[in-house]
Amino acid sequence: MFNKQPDSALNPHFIFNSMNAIRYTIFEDQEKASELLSELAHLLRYKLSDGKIATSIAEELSHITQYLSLEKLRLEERINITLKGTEIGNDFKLPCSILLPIVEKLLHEKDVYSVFENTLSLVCTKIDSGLLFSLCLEQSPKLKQGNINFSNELTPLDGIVKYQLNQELTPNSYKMELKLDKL
Amino acid sequence: MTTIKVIIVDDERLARNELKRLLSKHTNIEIIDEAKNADEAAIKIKEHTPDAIFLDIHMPGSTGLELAESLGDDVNIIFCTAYDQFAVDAFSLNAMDYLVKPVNPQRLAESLIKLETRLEQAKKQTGLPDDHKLMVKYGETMRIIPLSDIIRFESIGNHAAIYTPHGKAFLHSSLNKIEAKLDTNHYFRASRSDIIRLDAIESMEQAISYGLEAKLTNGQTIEISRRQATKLKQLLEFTQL
Repeated sequence: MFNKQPDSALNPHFIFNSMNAIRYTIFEDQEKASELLSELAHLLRYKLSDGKIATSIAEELSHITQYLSLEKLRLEERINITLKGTEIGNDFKLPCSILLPIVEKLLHEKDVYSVFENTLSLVCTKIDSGLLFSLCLEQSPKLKQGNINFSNELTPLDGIVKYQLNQELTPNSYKMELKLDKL
Repeated sequence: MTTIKVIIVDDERLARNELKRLLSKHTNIEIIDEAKNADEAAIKIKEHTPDAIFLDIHMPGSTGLELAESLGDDVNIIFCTAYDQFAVDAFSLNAMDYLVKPVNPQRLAESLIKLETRLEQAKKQTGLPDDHKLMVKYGETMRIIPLSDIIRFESIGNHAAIYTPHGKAFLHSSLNKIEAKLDTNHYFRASRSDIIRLDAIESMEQAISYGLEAKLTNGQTIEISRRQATKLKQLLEFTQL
């Protein structure tokens, strides 16, 4: 179930740190703890079938929301997250989980855990031929430079969904846009 | 029971609180401060000189491993992290223990016993030997005496009076500082104002204050506070085993 690689989609640090944070939340806010535990359970269930089942953009976005909510629980004021257009994409199918691993890889590659200030924006927009999924991460005092190699994450789309990936870097921000044609 | 002073170092507030909650069940542990990154921790460790730190590894700025390396053997380190990928590195830095989150309360209790034992051993090892020589001024005369000649240290303001076969003299040091240098096998803190040599106790009687009154070989009678009397009884029972 676990992969020891730090850039793995299913990172044990994420799981155990989330469990630890939820355990204390039980004493601070039981309702919230219950909600977060459900989110973690949903996420793990989804991950256990990762790569094996077809999914939809809507489902992917729902799990990304859960994933980011757990990251926010731990990192608190160190990460600001904005999500737009997460309600769309129900009719848009994917051969397997693609977007969640991309978000996870971004957070790990840019090591948000070692940075004092992170601002993450996720925007999902319908376009003529399909969908535009964009992520923008701003970090302070400085961003870990370099593009990210998403070839492992995108390979399952080859020959099934037409896609185009663009990445853009500034000293303090990283932006990626993934254009997906409808399946 | 000796109070153990600790500092918690973790970038996540919830993780710090969770550890505080778990440690609150151990009455001999006093959390003197907390830090959310290694740089902040380094300042606080220097300021408070804790007995131990609970240290996360992955934090903004310097990592816990880097902090541990800079501290050397000055403080006991219990690493506390989510996954064991750093365990080998941590132990190569002479970590006292390595706990994984969520921390198992039983495992934490074991770690604290280990810490307590290590601190006790360190205290015994650092205690000055009986034949340690001291230069002491009796009136206008200076004498070199072995530490074992001192049968009582009495706190007088910022100084301490010492009682020896040659009479009374003074040291320019507080009782707390003196206590830190003494071997607990030979000297015992009787109260806030007195440290006495164990083999200088001739007899003991129950005091009205529920403590004890110890009669020393020089004829003096010293009161041992109620709390310390309990500790002394435990200490001597243990010694007999």
